Amino acid sequence: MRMRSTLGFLAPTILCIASLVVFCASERTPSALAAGAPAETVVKIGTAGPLTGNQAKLGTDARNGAMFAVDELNAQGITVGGKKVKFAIQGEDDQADPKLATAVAQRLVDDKQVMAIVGHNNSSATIPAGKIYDEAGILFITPNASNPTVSQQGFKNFYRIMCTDPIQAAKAATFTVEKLKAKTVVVVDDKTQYGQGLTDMYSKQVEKAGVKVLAREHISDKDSEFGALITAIKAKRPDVFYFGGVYSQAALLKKEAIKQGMKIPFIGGDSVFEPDYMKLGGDITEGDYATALGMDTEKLPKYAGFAAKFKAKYGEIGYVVPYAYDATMVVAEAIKKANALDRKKIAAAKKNIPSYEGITGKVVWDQYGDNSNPVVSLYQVKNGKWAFVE
Amino acid sequence: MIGQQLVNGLVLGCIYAMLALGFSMVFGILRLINFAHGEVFMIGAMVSITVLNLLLAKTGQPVSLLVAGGLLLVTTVAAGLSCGVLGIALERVAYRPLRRAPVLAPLISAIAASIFLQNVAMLVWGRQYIAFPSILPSGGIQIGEAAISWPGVLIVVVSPMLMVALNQFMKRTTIGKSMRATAEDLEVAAYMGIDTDRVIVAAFFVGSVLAGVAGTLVSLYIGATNYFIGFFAIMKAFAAAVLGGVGNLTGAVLGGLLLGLIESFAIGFLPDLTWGFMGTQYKDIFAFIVLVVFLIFRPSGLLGEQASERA
Repeated sequence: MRMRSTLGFLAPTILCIASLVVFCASERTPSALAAGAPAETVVKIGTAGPLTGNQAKLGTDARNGAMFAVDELNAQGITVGGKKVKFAIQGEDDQADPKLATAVAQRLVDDKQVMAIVGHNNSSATIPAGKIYDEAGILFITPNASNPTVSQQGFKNFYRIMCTDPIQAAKAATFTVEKLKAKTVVVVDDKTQYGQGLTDMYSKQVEKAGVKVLAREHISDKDSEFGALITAIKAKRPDVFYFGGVYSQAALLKKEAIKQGMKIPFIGGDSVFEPDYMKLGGDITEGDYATALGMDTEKLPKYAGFAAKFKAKYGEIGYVVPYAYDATMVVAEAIKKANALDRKKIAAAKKNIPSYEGITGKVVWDQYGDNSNPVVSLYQVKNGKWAFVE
Repeated sequence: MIGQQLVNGLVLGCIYAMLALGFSMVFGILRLINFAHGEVFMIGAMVSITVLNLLLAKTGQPVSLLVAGGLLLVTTVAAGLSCGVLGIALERVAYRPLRRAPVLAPLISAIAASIFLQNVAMLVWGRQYIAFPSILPSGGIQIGEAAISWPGVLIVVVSPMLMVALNQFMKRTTIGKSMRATAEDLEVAAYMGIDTDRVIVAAFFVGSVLAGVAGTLVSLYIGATNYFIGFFAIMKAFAAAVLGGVGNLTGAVLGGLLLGLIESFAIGFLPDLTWGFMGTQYKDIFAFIVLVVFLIFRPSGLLGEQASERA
């Protein structure tokens, strides 16, 4: 019995020590390899977004956009402070979860090779992560987080490429009143910072124009069964259905609505503006509307060439890709201007870049980091594809 | 609206009833709360989508109604059987070695099995919503003001058939009677010459098959599924079983149907009843409220527990 207890004590201890060694070694290896590259200094740009989960496409697209930018920069051969540098993307997964976002932010900040951040992709994740970036004095630019409260936190080195939600809510509201001629609406959101923020703004705008908001309903962002909710909404007989949330739940809501014979116009925010909305929803999504931040890509002169090159490398192009690309390019501009691999110098250099002409058009930053040159577009599903409306 | 919510509630209730049945069967015999039951349900949903997509790749789309029916039958049977096998594996690996351990050990093992299965599903099928191919025609039956889609009709027709079949199985077959005997008193049943190990395996198999069929039907009804539906499923199954009386199979059915109806009416009328204070996102809370209320005030449930007779 004594033998067994000694062995019983040794085995887990050895296991613990072994796993610690392996864990620490693997943590060290990537940077060790990178530092091993002779003559070139590695400059890392951290990206953070949902690489897995409901919104995996969003985060992966953003990261790929950043990687595409970095490949172009490396092909150009940039020098900083007299030394040749090689850019690399440190892609992290926050699963669109605020809790994970803080852990990811801390990890990126602790990595001394990370000079700036392109992320996060969700407003609810950007705010807690932003507090960590702010304390570290590191520059962070979000390609697409659109809730206005993010720029109201007092972050000193925060910038956006896309504009904010009040503008897309206003566009949806105007469209509801003028084009759809609705008298009543039902508004549903997923209780996230983004979703509820969007629907709050839409409801206010639409009520100002004299439309009656019959109900403000909520779903949890993990829900999939909406039978009873749609029945309750249908009983109120609204003219229009407005949803603030992610495309996957939007598709399920629309499916249930059609199942119960509720064929009213359906408007979503920019998280619904994804080709996967039609993939998950099928034919019943035909005719649905969504607003998107940014100009219609067909009107952007540099977009077609960019998209062709990107598609050649990654197969298809997502909505957020050019924004992530522009965000990364702005970071590179700041690094070149600072001419030093120092986070504080880079953040300060960005303050001397008041505007940027990128693939997505011109961005002019105000004192809060918001784009004071906002453009919003409205799209409709036609023949299984998003088509520009106005 | 009441008619429609009634219909919604019945469809949901049938699903909860099937889940609660499998859950109650295991509890009745082993006094074990099988937390992994929800994940078995989820795996049934996932497997059904994978199998159906494989079959559709061979037949091509669109399919005629007859072919669709045949495909659905094959898919449901496949999902049910794989879940049955999963249930047996679960029993062998997670519960049987702990048969004589203190009562907390199998409970922890059940939670561990649940976490394990959830993560396996996440790694195999990914974290995003997965669409169920829509092969049934849209539309359905209209009863007055209430509409019920074809998948809903399927659920309301198939579930009672399965429950009646289960009832006959428990009443007429030897193994069914052995299960009832073992549920009454495990030790005495063993003395009577019943192979209790075989009975336990049978209980897990039948319960898991029901969960697998429920998973298939729910994915068909909603049109999509996800790797975390198991968590909500086990909560509802547990609440339904407690509501009706754990271990009591008729109670499980009653509890499931009642829970489905309560949830649907809550979503429909709660915002109006509470002047907008409690919104529709609280619908899952109802299962938990019911659970807590019953555990505190009437733990034996509506129809009473299966009391083991101690002479």
